[in-house]
Amino acid sequence: MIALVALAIGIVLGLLLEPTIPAGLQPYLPIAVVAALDAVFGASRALLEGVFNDRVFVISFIGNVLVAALVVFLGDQLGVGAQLSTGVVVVFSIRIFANAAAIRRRLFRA
Amino acid sequence: MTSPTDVRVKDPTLSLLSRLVDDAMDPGYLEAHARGDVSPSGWRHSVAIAIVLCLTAVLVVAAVLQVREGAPSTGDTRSDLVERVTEATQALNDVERRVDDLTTQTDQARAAALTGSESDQTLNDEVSELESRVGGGAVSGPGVRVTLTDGPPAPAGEGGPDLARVLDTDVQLVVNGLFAAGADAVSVNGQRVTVLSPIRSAGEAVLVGFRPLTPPYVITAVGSESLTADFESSSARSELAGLEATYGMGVEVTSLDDATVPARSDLNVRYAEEVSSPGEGPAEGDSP
Repeated sequence: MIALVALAIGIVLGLLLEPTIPAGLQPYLPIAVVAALDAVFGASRALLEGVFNDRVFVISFIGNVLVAALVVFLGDQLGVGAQLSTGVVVVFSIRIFANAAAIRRRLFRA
Repeated sequence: MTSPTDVRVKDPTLSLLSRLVDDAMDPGYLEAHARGDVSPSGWRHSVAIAIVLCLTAVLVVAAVLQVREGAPSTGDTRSDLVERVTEATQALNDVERRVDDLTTQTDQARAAALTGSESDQTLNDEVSELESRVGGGAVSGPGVRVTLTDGPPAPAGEGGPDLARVLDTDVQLVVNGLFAAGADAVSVNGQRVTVLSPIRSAGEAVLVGFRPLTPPYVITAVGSESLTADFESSSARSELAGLEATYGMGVEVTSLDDATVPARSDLNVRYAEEVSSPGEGPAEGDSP
């Protein structure tokens, strides 16, 4: 319940404030978003499996976002930023799919 | 890690993928669970979760907005360019106005300095005379105004320039005709025509002194009382009448009792010579 309200507040805030990301950080925003979504999906699954832990959630969220951004930043410095971005997105998408599938199995037993 | 529905893939080449799928949920949750680290349900923890979720939503929205702004349609690009051109033109006009003001001030200062002795007066007159010839000062007096407007557009599908439009050659015809009829000063849409002002076309626009003008083209000339009559009887006028009859181009000649032709705005001193006669001040400096 709190989670849904918080999400709604976040969307409204984002639309109202229209936060402008500094130009230097813009390439990392999509990666950060994918990483954040992965953390949220993982937390949802943990919640359903009854092993949710808020500390793990907050830390995994921040860690995911930071590490993903760092990897892409390193890739940019090495000239393989685009490829590493793709890699990060692929890994997180697979995780999101797997978590979504696990959530689906738990909810619908199918 | 060990979800009941998991099927372990033994193939080592797939181990990376299978581990990726198996560990999709952060292993930290299970480890914490195994440690017996139960999530407490105080308000503090709810707030932390709420903040993180809120942040996620803000991030998603920000990313979506950024992508939308970052990929402007061609229409946006075009209007943006048009805006920038308008702004730059505006800035240019402002600067030119300031140049005009300063030039006027300089002229006044010079006129004030060149009063007194007779030689000063002669020099001043000479400067004024030369200035009006090169377009340095505004000229007013009896004159004539010729207005050229585009004729009805030719039926579409025909190649080549639309001859009913006022072309650079038509403006040239009028300007040359006016000078031939004895005009002292001529301007096209407020742009003084001097010996250094080309009249040419770029695309669909007619450029006078490298400045694009838009129709109707109002050509104003200052000259003697008989300027209008002389122009009306010139060969340029009969050629214009031909254009009028053939293409439907609008030509309107009006005699003016008091016409004003502005000074040329971008007049620079390109050549200066020191006046060596005694008693004279130093020559005007070069200001490219």
